[in-house]
Amino acid sequence: MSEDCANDRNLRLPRFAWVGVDWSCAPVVAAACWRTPAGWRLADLPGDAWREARRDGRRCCAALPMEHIFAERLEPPARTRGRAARLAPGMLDLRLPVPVESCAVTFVPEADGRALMAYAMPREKLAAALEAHSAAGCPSERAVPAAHALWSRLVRTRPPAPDRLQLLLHAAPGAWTLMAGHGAALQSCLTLSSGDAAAVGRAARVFSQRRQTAQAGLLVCGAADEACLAALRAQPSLAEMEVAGADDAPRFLARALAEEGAHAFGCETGNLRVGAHIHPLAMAKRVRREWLAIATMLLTAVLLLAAHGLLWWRAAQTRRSLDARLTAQASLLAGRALPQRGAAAIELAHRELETRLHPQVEALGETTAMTLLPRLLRVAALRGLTFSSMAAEEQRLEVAGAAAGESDVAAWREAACEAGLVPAIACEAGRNGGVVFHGTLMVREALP
Amino acid sequence: MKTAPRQRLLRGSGLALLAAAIASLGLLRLAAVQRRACVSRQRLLQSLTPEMDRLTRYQAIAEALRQFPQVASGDPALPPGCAAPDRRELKRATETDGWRGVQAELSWQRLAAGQALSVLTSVSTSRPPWRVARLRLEALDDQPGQVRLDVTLETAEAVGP
Repeated sequence: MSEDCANDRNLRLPRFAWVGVDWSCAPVVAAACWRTPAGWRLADLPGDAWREARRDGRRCCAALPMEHIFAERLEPPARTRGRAARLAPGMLDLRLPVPVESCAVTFVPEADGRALMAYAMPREKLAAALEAHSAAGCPSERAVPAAHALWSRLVRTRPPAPDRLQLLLHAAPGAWTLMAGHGAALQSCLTLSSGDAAAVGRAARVFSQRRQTAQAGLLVCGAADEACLAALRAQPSLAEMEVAGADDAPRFLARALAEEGAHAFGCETGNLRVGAHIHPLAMAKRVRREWLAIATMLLTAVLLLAAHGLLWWRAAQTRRSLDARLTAQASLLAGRALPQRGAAAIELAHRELETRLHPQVEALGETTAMTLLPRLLRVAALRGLTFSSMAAEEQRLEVAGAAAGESDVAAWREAACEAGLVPAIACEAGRNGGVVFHGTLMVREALP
Repeated sequence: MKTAPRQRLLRGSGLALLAAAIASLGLLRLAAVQRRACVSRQRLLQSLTPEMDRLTRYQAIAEALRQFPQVASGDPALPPGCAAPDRRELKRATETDGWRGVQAELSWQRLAAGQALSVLTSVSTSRPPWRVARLRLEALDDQPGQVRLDVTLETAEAVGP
């Protein structure tokens, strides 16, 4: 991710940028995140100028205080992620001190594996927090547990080694939140009294013993000054641990929220403003999406039916017209309307035709050797062939005659072939340098 | 529960799309059946083409014969200047299905060879049709350029109305 932490007072906030608002500090800290062709852009928003542009909370993301949120890591015994998501609410209900139905719940799946981080906030607490945001002048469209946003930013900006115990302390003025993870996976989340460095030390010892790992680090963000860091380093259990303050500690949460909003791409994962607490803008977006989906599905259904119906109708029309042609031709052949249809009608029409046609009349139209004779005689006249005898009977023509040369006989033979006769003509030398020929020509169709 | 009707509509649209997809598959199958039927009908129509040609040819001949009801008592058209042949009616068949077959023989004892070929061309293409059933042409040895020609012709005449 390309990050550019601009701090420009004249920065024009893009309409599609997400604004992260950290209400735990005074004055309120805000940051914006948006996507540009060059990559992600992150900018701090000084002053309150952004509030005017985002008075309705559009594309604003706020943190919900962790002291009111139950954070539980669940490992459902399921093979697939979908099945794990179905099992998770039941498992969470067993662990919560209050009924799960009375809470707003969000599940954040781990990047790899089937474990989920469940965040549950009692509805009245959520309503109060959202009311507070509205009263402050920015009813954020998205409200996420602070731990979720903070840990996501930690993983994005400082990816921990896979076998390292990573602690993240958000030192807010009201309460401290300590998050512990193994590698990139957030394992647990504790809320401590503000300034209680000893409690941090105790918790860190417990996490170290549980994880049995030598590599460990603590990153501190929020309102943590040098004195706070010194107090933490003074804890015996943190002595061997790398304790560092984030460079952007005071703005860490605001930036984390801005990034969370921008990277969610409209997905509800991590967002507790769902169900009855949904933001009116988000609701309007959802309603628009749903109407669009309804319209798209109905239109697609109509188009599908229309296109395929048209295909079927055209094919049926073609079949009907062919049927009509077939019936007409069969009736024409039979000489009367036939009760049968299709192949049966054709068969009947064939039989009827055989009885209808008078053989002697039909024979007048048959091709015989005599019907091909005029063409042969024309060629013979052109080539100067003379005939001494010619006898024809049905499909057979016997000829004998004389020609000037063998080429003339060959040309005549060729003409006979083209006319549809099969010639068997022999030539012999005749008188005066000419040739005499004799042979038979058969109609090609008459041959077996 | 303001969203409930819309949610129901969304679900209904999904179901409608699914139903449309299923119906489309059915229509595709039906269209394929229709197309196969079209191919079979076209094949049948093609199989009828020779029979239709045969019928057309027959009707043309029958029509030509009906236009000249006295064809059997006359001769086919002969080339101008041709000597009149000796005509002999060989056979007049009994009437069947409104037609009667007639066979006649035309003979020329002596005919110029060129004219004989013209006669052959003429009787082969004559209208109304005569069919040359048999032909015999022989050069006369003692008279060069002259031939003897015997032609047996057949035709049919329409009987009755």
